[in-house]
Amino acid sequence: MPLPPPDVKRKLLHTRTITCQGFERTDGAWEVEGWITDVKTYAIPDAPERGNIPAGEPMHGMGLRLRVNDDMEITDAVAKQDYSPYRICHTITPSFRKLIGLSLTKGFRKAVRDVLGGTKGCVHLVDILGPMATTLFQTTAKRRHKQLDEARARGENVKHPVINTCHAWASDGPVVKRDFPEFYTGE
Amino acid sequence: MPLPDPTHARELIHTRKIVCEGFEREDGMWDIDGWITDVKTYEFKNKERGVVTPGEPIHGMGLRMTYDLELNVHAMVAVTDFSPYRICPDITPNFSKLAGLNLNKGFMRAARELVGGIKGCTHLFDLLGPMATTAYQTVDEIRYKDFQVREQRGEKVMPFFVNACHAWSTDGGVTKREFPTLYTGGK
Repeated sequence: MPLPPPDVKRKLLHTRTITCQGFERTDGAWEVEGWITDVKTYAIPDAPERGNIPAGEPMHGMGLRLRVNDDMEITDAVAKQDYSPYRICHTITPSFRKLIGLSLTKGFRKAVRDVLGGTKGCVHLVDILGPMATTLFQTTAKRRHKQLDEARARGENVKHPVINTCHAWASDGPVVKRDFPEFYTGE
Repeated sequence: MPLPDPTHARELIHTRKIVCEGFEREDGMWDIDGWITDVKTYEFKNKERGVVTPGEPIHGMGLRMTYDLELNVHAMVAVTDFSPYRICPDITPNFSKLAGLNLNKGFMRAARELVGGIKGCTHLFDLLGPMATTAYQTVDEIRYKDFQVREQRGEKVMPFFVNACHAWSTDGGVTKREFPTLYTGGK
């Protein structure tokens, strides 16, 4: 990782790895899968339910698959847990079907908190929904850009959804000025 | 990813990978190094970078957060190595504004105020959730035992993980066994 070299000596204790993959299905639907693992560099000899957990064995190992349509609405959801600290953890996975019907574009994070927040869900499976949503947007980018280009070619005034979502896409910045001059608000 | 087999033929388009590493520092503080990459399976043109080849990161960026046992953030350093636009890295210094926040007190909301939207970077922001969760887990051994010792001394404690998920519901078996004074369920 090209972060600056650390300024003090330090010891690695914990690693969280999240992998999200976005797929285009042959029937036109989108799928996004997320998988998360947490591992420690040391053994935990006295875990309350699992007993000895060797170094490197996942404390958490779990994932989700979402099917999404072109309107960015979730049409199917499945969650699975392979590693968790407690036996009852995995009994919450069916609740992730409550994601079906939610829109990834409008108030997604708040809706997730409402249906799966706190004791209604699993902190770690909820943690991967943010990166999964961003992955899905990037997976669908090609098709969405094509649709956007076609609409603009027809003279429609369609605003790119990323305008004003980040520094580079600020409506008064050079990227919007060059790529979407009709939405440029700078000098 | 050990999710159930997919039901439809599909093509991988996009992969996002996040790695968060938690370190104990020699000076008594802790670091989380987080890194995010986005790669596509196809070649595409970018107006500023030219041709981006399959597997070449469209985004490659990271954060280092230094924090203490009370979960106060002391420093946040951001780095952007791969981005679609030249102006993307200009926003990285803004992330130092997160120093002074506490991970346990409205962190994500405060972060959104400081580095959300055009004040930040969507992808660096996406890292903050997993980094916060990794921060908790990196110090969980010490904090967990401290909570138990204080409870046994008769102090009123409310560990952050109680009622934070299904397994740690105050009326569930895990709370009953691990923190009996906080148990709210039946006998």
